[in-house]
Amino acid sequence: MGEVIVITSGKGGVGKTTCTASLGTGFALMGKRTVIVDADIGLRNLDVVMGLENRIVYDLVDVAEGHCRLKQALVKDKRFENLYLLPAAQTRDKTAITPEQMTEIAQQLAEDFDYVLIDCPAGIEGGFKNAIAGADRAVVVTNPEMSSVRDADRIVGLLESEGKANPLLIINRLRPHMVNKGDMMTVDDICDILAIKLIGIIPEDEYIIIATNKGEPAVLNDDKLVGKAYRNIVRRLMGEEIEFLDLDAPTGFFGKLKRAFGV
Amino acid sequence: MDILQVFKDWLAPNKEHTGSTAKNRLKSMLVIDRSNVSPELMNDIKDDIIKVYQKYFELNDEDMEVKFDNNQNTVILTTSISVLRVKRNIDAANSKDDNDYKRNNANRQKR
Repeated sequence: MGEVIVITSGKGGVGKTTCTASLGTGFALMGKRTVIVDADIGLRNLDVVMGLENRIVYDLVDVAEGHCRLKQALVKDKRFENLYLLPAAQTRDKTAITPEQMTEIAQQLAEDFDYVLIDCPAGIEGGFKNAIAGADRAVVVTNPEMSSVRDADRIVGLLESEGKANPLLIINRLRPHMVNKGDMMTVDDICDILAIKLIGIIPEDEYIIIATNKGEPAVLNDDKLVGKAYRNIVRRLMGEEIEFLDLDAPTGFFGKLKRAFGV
Repeated sequence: MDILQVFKDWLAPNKEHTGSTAKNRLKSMLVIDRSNVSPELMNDIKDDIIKVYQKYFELNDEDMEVKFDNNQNTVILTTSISVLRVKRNIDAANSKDDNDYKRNNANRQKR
């Protein structure tokens, strides 16, 4: 039996889909049979981030309504041995599926895959309830910014009331420069407020947009700190103990020189 | 915070560090969020508290604040009310209560 992990956040635009794409790809790179599920019915995007938008035939709602078998709806990512996508329907809405159907699909997938990653829609209504229904574990993504931390706190409360205790935290789009200036909440501040276990810190990087432009999850980039940050999260989710990256690490000659002088 | 920042602070001592402002605002915001207190209930609480104070003090109605605060993991309900003066007839009211209490006690002892 594989593990079903839902990636959620409450607020939109904090990086759920980008995280799901990169973490899913990361699991596949580690040799795990992985399926990523887009639960954002009506606003699907995981296919775009993965570069698989032209390969979709059936979707999640087709499976739920019995128009096709589950296996038929899975899009195989040809770049990786072990990676599949179950896309959301684009022309339907959140009411097209029930939490029970979602649980059933997640369970069926968990029989065949090591990791089932569910990309949760923003908000706290039906779509959220569907997405978390079949999950064993929840990962909450937040940005170091007031409104997204507030929404994350609400999500943590809702997850607990739905019986999904101990969610894990990813702090996305951290800007070390702003933290150093005292103008951004620190990782410790956010952990202190949300009081859940931290599993990853991802720096802000323009490369995320480039990666999405290309349809290549950022985890694939070996040169970028973001790629490494995602790979570390994957390994932590697999149970490894890995130190958090030093996001302040200077790059280039002048960076190192500056650091040597403590500025 | 790095050394450069300390130097910048020295040059511009009044510059606010908004990161900690955000943290503090969030903390008190979340106390209310988590306690599930609606603004209506908050107003009711405020009205009741004010009624109690009004028994003893003359208050400045315009300058009152009742809010939840967060102080290192404890929730504190703070009321900030500006008092114009203490009412003069409080003593009389209290001693009447005292007398009632004594009388009741005496009755109880008789039985």
